[in-house]
Amino acid sequence: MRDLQLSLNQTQRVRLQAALQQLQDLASQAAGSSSVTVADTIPVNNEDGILKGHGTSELDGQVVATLCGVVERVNKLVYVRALRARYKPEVGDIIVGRVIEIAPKRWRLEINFSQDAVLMLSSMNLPDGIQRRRTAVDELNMRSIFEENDVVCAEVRGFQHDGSLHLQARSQKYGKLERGQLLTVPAYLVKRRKQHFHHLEKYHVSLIIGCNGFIWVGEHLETGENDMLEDREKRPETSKSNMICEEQELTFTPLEVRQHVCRIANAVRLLAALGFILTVESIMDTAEASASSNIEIKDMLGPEFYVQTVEREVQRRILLSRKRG
Amino acid sequence: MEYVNPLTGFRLDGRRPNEMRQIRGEIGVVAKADGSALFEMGNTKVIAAVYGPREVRNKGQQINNQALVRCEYSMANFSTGDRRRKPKGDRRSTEISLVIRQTMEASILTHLMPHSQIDIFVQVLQADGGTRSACINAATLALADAGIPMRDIVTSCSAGYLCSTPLLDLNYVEDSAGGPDVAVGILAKMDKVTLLQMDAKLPMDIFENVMQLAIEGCKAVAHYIREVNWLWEEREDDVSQIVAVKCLHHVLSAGARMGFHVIFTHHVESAIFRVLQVIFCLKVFLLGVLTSLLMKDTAIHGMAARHIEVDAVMEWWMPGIQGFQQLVQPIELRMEWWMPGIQGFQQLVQPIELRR
Repeated sequence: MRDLQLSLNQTQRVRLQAALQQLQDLASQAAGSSSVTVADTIPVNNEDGILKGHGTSELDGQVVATLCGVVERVNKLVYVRALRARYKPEVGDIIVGRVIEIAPKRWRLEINFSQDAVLMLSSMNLPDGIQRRRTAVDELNMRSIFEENDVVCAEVRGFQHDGSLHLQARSQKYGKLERGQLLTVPAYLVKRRKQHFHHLEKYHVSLIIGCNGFIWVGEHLETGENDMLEDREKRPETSKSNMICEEQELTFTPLEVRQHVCRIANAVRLLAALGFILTVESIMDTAEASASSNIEIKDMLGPEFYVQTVEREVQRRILLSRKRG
Repeated sequence: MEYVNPLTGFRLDGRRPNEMRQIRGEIGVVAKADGSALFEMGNTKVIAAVYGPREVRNKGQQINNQALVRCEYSMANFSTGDRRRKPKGDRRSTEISLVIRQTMEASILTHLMPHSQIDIFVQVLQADGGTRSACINAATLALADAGIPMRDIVTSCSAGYLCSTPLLDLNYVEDSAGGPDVAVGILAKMDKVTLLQMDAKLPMDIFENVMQLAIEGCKAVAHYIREVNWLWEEREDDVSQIVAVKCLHHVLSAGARMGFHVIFTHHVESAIFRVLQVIFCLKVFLLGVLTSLLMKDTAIHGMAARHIEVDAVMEWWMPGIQGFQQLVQPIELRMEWWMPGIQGFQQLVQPIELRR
């Protein structure tokens, strides 16, 4: 396992192996695509012309893989989907990133792509929500919006002519993320969906599953919090002690919510270590299962729950295949 | 010293002349790296980590239409018999870094990742001869693990010539015997040479045998590396079916401990004690000096000048040994007007040697 170091006892090992075997059998039943390694020949029917996509090249008239991954075929197109590669952005993806540098009129974000992404000052809403030209003063105050090492949520706007990746954050839902945990998982575990922002009302937690494999689990903050910040800035005359009190109130997260955040974060860690696809359903399912079987948060990454999760996944898939068949 | 037992034909460590050491590979050993691998050839143990493609750290080095590949080779203090602190960036490790970088760059499709850089870090954990070959093999596995597009898998293996016998995959004792050590790297499927290094003199016909032996070794390594990737793939395939569990380590450590015996069909000439033919030597000499001159690469140049032998890191388009010979012939022709005979050559060689 890449992330977890587990010491399984004998029974757990046997159970795990049995469950893994079942998973593999189920997978081979559903197998449609085949996996290749670098320089493997991909069998194609040359008569009905094919289009070579990503991860393929031609050698002596044969289509050869240049990546390790799964062969995908869409009509004429043949391409190899790499596993464990870095994130490949698509326009409109919702991503979570970390600010690493503030440059003139822009922030640079690390988003697990082959380059750093660029978030222009002009392509994000100002905290006051007024549409206007960005002035030199705004440029000087950029650090009051995002500082280095802040975690930021944004949307992929597109590639510029010079090949750099630009982001935008033109809505209240994007912006700085606070009071929570950032988790990094391999990008292929996140599938593109309609909804990447999730508000788990039961736990008062918000979950953002970024397409780039950065996952944010944090306390749910009402949008409009920015306005409050704004208010504070407008009232500099309020006494200092009052300010501190207010600040404490603003940054206080109840213990219960913190525990929920940790539980959900550990569920994400566990699923990522197992290599299961991360959806809000699977994450919540795991978190709830751990809570219902009275497993402590710290034991969620232990061997027992690890094996249990695999077994539960087997059951789920058996049910699924029965429904289908 | 008897490196090959004249009675039994076995080597010091009990191998046959054309037998490799046990090899073992494992991927995903460094959690935070994009790709990583551990590779063992007998007692030689090497770890490789690949980071990237990522933003270029030093903007001055950025290449606009392709990725920048960097490589750093180091030896752990505890890797050799006598434990000593090794200065970082000494001549030997700089040269090996360069060799690995050029070998890997030949197979990586750098033009697909513009404005980015790929860092390869290799460290020798245990040195027992053939470290550069092990490093190249580890780097290949790590690059495949990182999902970086490659033309083909590069594999490397060394071969030597001791006691009138070509020996595959030299260990430390054989390596330090002072005989020739031919390190070869090939693109396994395309059957092309990306790396060829020799630090000694060998007659051309024996050289061919030794190189052929090394190439067969490379192919055996390639066969094994495919298997490592394949075991991994099977697991990862499940992932794609929304299934999967990664447990490569279990699989590998349990099932894949196997050695490879490379047996050859090529015949070793029985009349071994031929007089070393000066012309052949010269041919090899000229190639070494000329390639180093042509390549204008200081490190390679220094290498060639130090040993004055074949030391060519060839481009990936070199098609096998035939191509190598083709390369040798025209150079010789071109040399004729330039350096008349062996005296002229020696005159050229001496000053370089003295400068060292």
